[in-house]
Amino acid sequence: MIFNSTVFLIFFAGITLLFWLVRKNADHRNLMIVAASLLFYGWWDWRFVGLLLMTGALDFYAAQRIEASSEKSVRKRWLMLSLTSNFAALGFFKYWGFFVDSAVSALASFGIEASRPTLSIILPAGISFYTFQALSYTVDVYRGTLKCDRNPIRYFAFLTFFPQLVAGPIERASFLLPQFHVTRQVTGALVNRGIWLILWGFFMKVVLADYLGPLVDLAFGSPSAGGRVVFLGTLAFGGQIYCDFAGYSSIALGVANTLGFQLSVNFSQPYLSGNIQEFWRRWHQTLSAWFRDYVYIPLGGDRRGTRRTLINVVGTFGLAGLWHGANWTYIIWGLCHGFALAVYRLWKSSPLGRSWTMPWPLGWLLTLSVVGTGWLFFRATSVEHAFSLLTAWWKAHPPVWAGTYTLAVLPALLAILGMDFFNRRCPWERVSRWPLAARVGIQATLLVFVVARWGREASPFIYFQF
Amino acid sequence: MSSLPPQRPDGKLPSHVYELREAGIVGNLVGTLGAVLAIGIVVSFFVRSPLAPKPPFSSDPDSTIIATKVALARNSPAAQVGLVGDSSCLMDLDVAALESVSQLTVVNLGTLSYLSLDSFGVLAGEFSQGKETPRIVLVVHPDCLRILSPSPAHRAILDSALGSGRAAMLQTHETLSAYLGFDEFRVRVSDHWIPHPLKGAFGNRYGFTADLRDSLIHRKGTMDESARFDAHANHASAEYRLAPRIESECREFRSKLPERTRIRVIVTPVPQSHALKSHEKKMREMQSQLEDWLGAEKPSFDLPLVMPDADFGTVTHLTPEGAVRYSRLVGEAMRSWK
Repeated sequence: MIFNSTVFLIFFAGITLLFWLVRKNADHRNLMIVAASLLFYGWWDWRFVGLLLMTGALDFYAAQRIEASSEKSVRKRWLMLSLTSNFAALGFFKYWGFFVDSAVSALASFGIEASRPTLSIILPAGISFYTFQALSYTVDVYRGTLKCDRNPIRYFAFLTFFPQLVAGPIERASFLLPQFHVTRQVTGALVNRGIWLILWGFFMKVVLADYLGPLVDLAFGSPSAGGRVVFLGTLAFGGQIYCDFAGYSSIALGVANTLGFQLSVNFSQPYLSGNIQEFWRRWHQTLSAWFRDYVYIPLGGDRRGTRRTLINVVGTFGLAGLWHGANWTYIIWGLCHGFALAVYRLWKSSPLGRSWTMPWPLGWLLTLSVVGTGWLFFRATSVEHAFSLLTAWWKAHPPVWAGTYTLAVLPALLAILGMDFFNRRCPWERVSRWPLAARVGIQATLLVFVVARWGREASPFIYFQF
Repeated sequence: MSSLPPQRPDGKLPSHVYELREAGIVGNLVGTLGAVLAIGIVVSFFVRSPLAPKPPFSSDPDSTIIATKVALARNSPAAQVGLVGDSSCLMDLDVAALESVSQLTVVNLGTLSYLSLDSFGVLAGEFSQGKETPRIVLVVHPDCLRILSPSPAHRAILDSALGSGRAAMLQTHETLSAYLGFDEFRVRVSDHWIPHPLKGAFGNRYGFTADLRDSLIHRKGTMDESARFDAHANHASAEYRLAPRIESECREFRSKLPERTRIRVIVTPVPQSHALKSHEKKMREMQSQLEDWLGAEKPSFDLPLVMPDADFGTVTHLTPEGAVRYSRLVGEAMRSWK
């Protein structure tokens, strides 16, 4: 089930009603959330509900065994079992084809012919998201920073909570799980915030992202595209993926709010960042935090000297790239960001970097250049495709439609920047104090655009494939 | 260490409490929905009023083609010959190549097989207005002649582009957007300044519907096929026949033209590998029947009914290179049509 579908609106209305009916018993509420979440997930493909329940049950049990034992080796054994099962599922469904293809290509370069096994694997939606959420639970219990939950319904409510199950935010158990233990307060302020976030999310997805999608396809799918089209197409993809993913996150937060729950903020106007470090504090914040806490810091973080820090940064981002998908284009995207962050760190630790503050517009342009280059690789279907697009930059003759392309893309990009400036200057905390008429005016405007675009060229969220 | 709240022994903890009154949720929701409804009512009145601009027909390629052909039919006073017909007319006849050989001025008003023959007649009628002895060539692929029923949505687009009827849309849905008048607002107003990209190979070639329209005008109605014919792919049956609707549509076609109009009929070719042994014989019979129903001139132009696979983009369309070759043959045949 996807948010931008009529069936989800009916589902959400039903859940809101059921939620009111179960208001007297937290256990009933949690059970209802699990059932609703499994329905939400199974709507896409019911066969993968079993996988979700199986890996979840193993993590639930492993966490109990870890907590019950005081012996380090036993605790480690259960942790390894949890890690192995999660990574095995992830590896099989997501990376099997990639590793087999890479191995066959590597062997071929040594003159060894190996046949590719023909195995068609469907990727379960959101497997990377719920796997990482489940892993953070067992790792935190192992580290002793979190007590395990002995109630399976509560645990599964945390793991499968439908607003964030398929594409995040990737929540920590220490933040989300306790919310299923207590009586939630569904306040007017929270519901109003939820409505605000839902409308902005739909606006970003249905109006902006789905408008930019066909334009991006045109630029990346056209062999005749010249430099201007590739440049604008790459920027358009940056806008599309931002509005698509941040829109999803905003709807997730809003839906959770209307039910009385809180989720972590995932995006904070990333394209207004003045440097690459700031960008990563504002883009997909819950994934960045996950990699920081479970990969970068365990690798040594910045505690083992400059050289090791830079290796850790680049390595962590390379893994973050691989997390996105089984394709070298994602790994190059991650490495591109990793190298940019490493260069930024070196710059900041240099005498000039310490004494001179780069003007914001220059930093912003540099950040956008790095991010844009990364998006070109991210969106390309293969490394060869990415390089063919890069060489198109120097193509002398743009297609006849390059002028129309500019007219189509630029207003949307300006609208995204305008939207981000507005949301930075006017966060909900400020908007909530505005007169009702002003808030209603903005909400109605957003809704008019959403209604006008609803159902036209509706596409699934990009991050569902990850 | 963050710890979870204590486990509950009785299991009777309330799930949640609603504290909604003070924050004006009702005002927020009702105000927002009410404002949208009010905007919808205003928009609905506006799009039905004479103040609403005429649609540019740029939402999709089909509308763009039909509306551009209406404009070409009305704005080609110097053209001596008007080609009307389905998409094989649109893509198989390159006007520049045809004119260079035939020494006649031509405009290609070919559209789509979704339209009926009498719709082609409407375009021919528009072209014929003000001309002393208009010359019309009906160009159709045998595939168009066996379609059981034309598309009413495409006919509505044609009527709308001609100025009769309301703004029509190919993709109409029973959605809130349609009820609130937003769809018609889009077609009449925002389509004037929001470009619509084309998909796939046509996107690579033409980019946007506005660029397609410009190209059609610049090339006097000719459009290029971007696909390449694959003889091994699955294709529709190669057995062709005249659908029952064709006879009455031919008579309708004729009735839309001035008495003095000279009419010719061309049945466009199919790929060699696709044609049955009896294809040419069958096509000549069908062509003769069409000429009778239309009151067209005889004998027919002597043109190939089968061409090499390499000249085709699809079963129904020639490649641009194939179209030039075929158009030269048509031009050669038309030279004697004085």
